[in-house]
Amino acid sequence: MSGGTVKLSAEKLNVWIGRKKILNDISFECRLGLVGLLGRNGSGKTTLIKAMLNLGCRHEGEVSVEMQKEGGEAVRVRLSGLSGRERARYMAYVPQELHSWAHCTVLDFVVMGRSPYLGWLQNPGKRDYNEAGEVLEALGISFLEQRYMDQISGGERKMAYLARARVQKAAWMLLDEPAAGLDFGRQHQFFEDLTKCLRESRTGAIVSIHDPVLAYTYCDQFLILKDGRMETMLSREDEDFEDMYLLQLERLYGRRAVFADTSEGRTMIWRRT
Amino acid sequence: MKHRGFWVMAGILVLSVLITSCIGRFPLTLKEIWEICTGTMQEAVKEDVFLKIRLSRAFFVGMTGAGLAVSGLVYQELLQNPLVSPDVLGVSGGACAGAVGAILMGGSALAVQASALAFGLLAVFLTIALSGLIGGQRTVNMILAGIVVKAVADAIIMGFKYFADPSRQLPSIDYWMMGSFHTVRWTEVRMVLPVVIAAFLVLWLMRWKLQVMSLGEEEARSLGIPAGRVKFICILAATVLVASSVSVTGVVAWTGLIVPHMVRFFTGDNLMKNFGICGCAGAVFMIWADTLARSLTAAEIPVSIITSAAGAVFLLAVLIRRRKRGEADT
Repeated sequence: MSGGTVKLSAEKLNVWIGRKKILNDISFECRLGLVGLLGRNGSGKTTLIKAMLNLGCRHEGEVSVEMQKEGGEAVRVRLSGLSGRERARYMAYVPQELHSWAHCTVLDFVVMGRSPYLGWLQNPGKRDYNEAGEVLEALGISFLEQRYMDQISGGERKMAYLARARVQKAAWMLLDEPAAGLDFGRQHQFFEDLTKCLRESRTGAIVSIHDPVLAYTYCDQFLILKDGRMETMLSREDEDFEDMYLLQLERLYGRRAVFADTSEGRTMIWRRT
Repeated sequence: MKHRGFWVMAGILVLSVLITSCIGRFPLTLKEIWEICTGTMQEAVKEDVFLKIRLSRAFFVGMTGAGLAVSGLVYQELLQNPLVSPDVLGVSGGACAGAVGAILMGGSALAVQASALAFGLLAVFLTIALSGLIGGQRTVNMILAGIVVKAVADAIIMGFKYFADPSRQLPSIDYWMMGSFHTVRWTEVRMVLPVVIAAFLVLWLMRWKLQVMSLGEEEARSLGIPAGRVKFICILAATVLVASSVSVTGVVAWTGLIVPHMVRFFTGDNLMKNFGICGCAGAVFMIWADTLARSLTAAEIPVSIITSAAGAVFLLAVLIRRRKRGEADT
């Protein structure tokens, strides 16, 4: 993306699975950065991610990406009018788990990010592999190149996904619970790598996440989803952000949390009920 | 070397063709074959035996083996199920029913081929649709659906056999159905070759997209791969491979299931690498099975007897080794 992106927005997104309506009238606009998607189990987080990627569920409404052109003017790209191949150049997907049938080396896996740029009968060539190799090196995981995806650790696998999304050159990355299944140290390592990666490539990401403390530590904006509706959208820059965040958490989980200042900076703890 | 596995396998294939060409009721030696190839052979009979009978047969047998093995590999990858093959999915059965029907109606060779293809396709899509309908565990229900479709195909074939002329048509249908290459000459090769090459080419060019599909349809689509269309085209091409061999030689059992597993057993699970190796390995396997079938006894026996026996042994070996490595549950 030469000019760089500005915003990702959804307008009146309604989503059904089968006959059941899962999401109602979801509208939001995200600025560049890391956006945390919070909500309880079954509130429709995964469905929202899949609907934005146009993966199978019936939906209406519009998803669009606003791009900054060279001259400085903003252009809005509506994703519904695009083919799957073109859409993949705007949005990358990081699913919760690697498919159990997948068996390929990390390098082969990362090269798959080139597929929206390849023709119908075209296979990736030397240039594509070089590009994948460079990205792996930039992320500091070249040593994984020849290892198999199903034989590396969960954290390393997530890094391979990051590398692939970067090769895909998509403006926005949608990650479905990337922290799930990672241990404490790896969760933080992953979010540090993710934020660094986003800053370097000037792209944005939406992550669905269950841990409000982790979200508070790394995310810039917060989408709160409740029973298939957008409850609200918070930004770290809002004046009363911290109070609003605590309020929303209490509404979601029925528990109060407070902020506590420690010598290592500000954190959040749950109050005993 | 980059494609070492493939070239080794290709070398084995060429050697196999040369060696098996020497074997038969009319024995040749490697030296004589060399003389034939260089044009210094004096005896016309030997030249005819090699060029018109043995070589055409080896060519067709190899093509069939490669086709069945590659189609098995493609089905297994696409449906993400290590237990499927042309036989299990009912493709062979459907194609067989189509071919028998066309033979009974006295259709031309082309009609037999077309009818085999049409019914083979019908069978595989029916199996896939049925497996969705059954629900439950994906790996198993596809096999159950295959059994259902195969039962229908068998019923149709039995119906055809009932109406066939018991003295002329019936024995030949039965023999043909067990799979045999004894009718093959260059005319059959010429008839089937263009279709087979086209199907191979399509699958070869799509092999990378097939590998992306191994991440699951959703993820493949998020990468901009039109998963539905890729799946359809690959199944179409794989079925063309099966149907074109079935229409000439009848059903050759087991090859499509075990050759991909044998290749994975030796070279690991890399689809891009295994594609060519699998084709060569299928050809080698089939050429040796056919050589045994035509030379074990004075009369020629159906090749399926050999492939089934070998298949059972190989499959058992693979399963036991999987269990020893602790992969039995994956």
